[in-house]
Amino acid sequence: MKFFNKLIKKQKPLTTSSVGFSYPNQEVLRDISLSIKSGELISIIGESGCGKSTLLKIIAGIISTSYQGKIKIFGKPKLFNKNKIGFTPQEVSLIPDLSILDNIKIFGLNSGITENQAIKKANELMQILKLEEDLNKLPSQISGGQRVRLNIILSLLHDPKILILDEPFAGLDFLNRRLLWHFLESLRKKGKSIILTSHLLTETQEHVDRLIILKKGKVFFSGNLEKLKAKLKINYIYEIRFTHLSKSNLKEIRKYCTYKDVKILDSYEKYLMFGINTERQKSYLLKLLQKLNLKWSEISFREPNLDETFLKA
Amino acid sequence: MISPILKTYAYLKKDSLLLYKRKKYLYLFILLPLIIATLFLFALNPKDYDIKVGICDFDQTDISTQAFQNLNGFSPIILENKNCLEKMQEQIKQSKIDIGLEIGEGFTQNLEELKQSKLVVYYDNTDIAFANLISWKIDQSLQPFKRQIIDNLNQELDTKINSVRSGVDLALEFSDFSKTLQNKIQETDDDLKSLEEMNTEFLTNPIWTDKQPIYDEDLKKDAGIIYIFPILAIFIILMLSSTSIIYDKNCGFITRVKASSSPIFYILAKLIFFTALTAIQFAIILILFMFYGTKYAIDPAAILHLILFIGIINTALGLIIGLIANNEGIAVLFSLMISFPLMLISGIFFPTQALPKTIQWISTILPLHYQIAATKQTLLFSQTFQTTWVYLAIILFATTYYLIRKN
Repeated sequence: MKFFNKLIKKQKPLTTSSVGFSYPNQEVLRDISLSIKSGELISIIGESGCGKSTLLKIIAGIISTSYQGKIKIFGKPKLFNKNKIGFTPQEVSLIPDLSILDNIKIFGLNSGITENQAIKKANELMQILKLEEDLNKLPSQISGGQRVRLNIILSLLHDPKILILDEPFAGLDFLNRRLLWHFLESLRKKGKSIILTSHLLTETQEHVDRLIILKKGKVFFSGNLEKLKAKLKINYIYEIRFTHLSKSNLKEIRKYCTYKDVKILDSYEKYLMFGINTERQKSYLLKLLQKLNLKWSEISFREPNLDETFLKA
Repeated sequence: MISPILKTYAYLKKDSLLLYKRKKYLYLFILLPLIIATLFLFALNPKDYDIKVGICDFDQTDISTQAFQNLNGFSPIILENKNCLEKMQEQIKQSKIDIGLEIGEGFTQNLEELKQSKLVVYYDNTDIAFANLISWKIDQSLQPFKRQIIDNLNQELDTKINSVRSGVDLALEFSDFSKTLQNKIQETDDDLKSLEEMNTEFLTNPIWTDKQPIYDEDLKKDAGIIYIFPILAIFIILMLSSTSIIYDKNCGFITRVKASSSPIFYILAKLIFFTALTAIQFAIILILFMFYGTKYAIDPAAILHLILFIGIINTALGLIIGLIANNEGIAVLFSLMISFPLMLISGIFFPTQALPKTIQWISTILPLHYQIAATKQTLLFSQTFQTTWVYLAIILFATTYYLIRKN
């Protein structure tokens, strides 16, 4: 038995190999191969519609047919280890006509634990996530933020080893988001593997071990922010606002940037945001602006955050 | 191994709690069989029905008066002779009377002269069910009167034959007639003998249709349940199970189910839950019918078999509807679209034997046809029915499983 447990521990909690998924006229995911270690917190990011939620749904078993590739949970096909996964869907999934207590009991039973075990675990989690409410209330009688937290709690009643959260921060204010990040970090310390999707990129970069960027249904990048910056050759962000910027000037700037491998990450009227790899590139850029007789004021020159890096990606 | 039991228990508990909490569903679920079964019982036992019949009696004799007074189950209203037919038709259109009866001039005279007399029945032929019923009903009501006329006629015929017999017998005693006359009298005697040997009943009523029911008349009342239970079950269970799965889809419960386990236990729990509801409905209807004095063969094993058949098939159909439909409204319409035509061709409103052949064929491939037959066999004749429905149940279960996984 000990040998068996050791063997399980050695197995990676989750591996996907060559996972693909298509709708009749659209390929959503292509050749997704990734793995997650115990105690790792990863975030999948990408544009809306790039297949983040679809990938999570395939891993969690919500989409269980017509996908290609293999998914293994602790080395076994997903079907045999489904109870090791806790999935929090993007939409709050509560039974609206039943009390919070009944919801806890039913979702606990659904996860394969007894009603008493479910209530005990729920109370513990509700204390951590500061959701101290009357359990006889209906879900509609608590706030939106509380419902989001309850939605997460219901996925954790059976103490899963892998936690999959689809946009868990949507609908939460800053305080609740911080509370949830701390909670997820505490789970990571306990050896849980966590995969989540989020659009709050700057917040995500502070907490996750690894980022996976999906682009056009494929894994574009997997690693931390530093690795991403290196890959994209963006070490600095340079933001400036011109007093006047003609179309011909903008055309000249764009031409120069393409030639010198400087990225224009954002442009709006007289505002431009550049992604720059070295400080030398900045001085070359300034020389060009002087040559064009442009007047400008510098807004910032700093390290990029994940949002800005993501713009490049 | 405890996990599947807990899961199935979870899904059963969820649906039971929802049924209890959503009071409107609960009340409807209990009230519907009570109301429909009660109405059905009254419809099947029309002891106190009263059909208003307007009469235009242009004959105005004792016999014609007797004719309409003999109409059992009808309330005759004598209309004035002036423009009688126009008034009668107007009153039918205004629903003041249900039907009209025209007794033509010479009705009695025709009867007395052994000629056929005619009654004309006026009715609203847009009222299809009533129109089908009325000619049979009038015929049935006039039967005692017709019988009386025939009996009177037979009696008169006998009297006349006897009178001729006495004349012929008297003539035969005399021998001083001419040969020709003697031959003629002998010929008349032979004809009379053959007439006497003939059954006069045949002369007045050559074909007598005597309707003889094969079952006891009381069984007609008992038979109501064989229609009302399967029809109610298909109607209610189809709607409840289809909307229940839509509810689970909308609140994300199915997502949780799919994330935590295989949907097999979820489908299983639904089948158990709605089959239990079918059993409760059956009990309500059975108790109501027994309260009205019906008697059934109560074989628990056979009844369980019947409830499993009806409950499982209807629930599985409802689940498939729920998985195909996008919202509760569409699921209800879908359920109506299936259950309503099924009811129409089930034989309760129109005799299936009188339906076009294609419709008859469709009727026989639909489950309601077999559910009615199974209920009849189980409750009225205490017989078992075939278990071939299990194959259909397996196909429906597999379809439901596939649709949940694909959804």
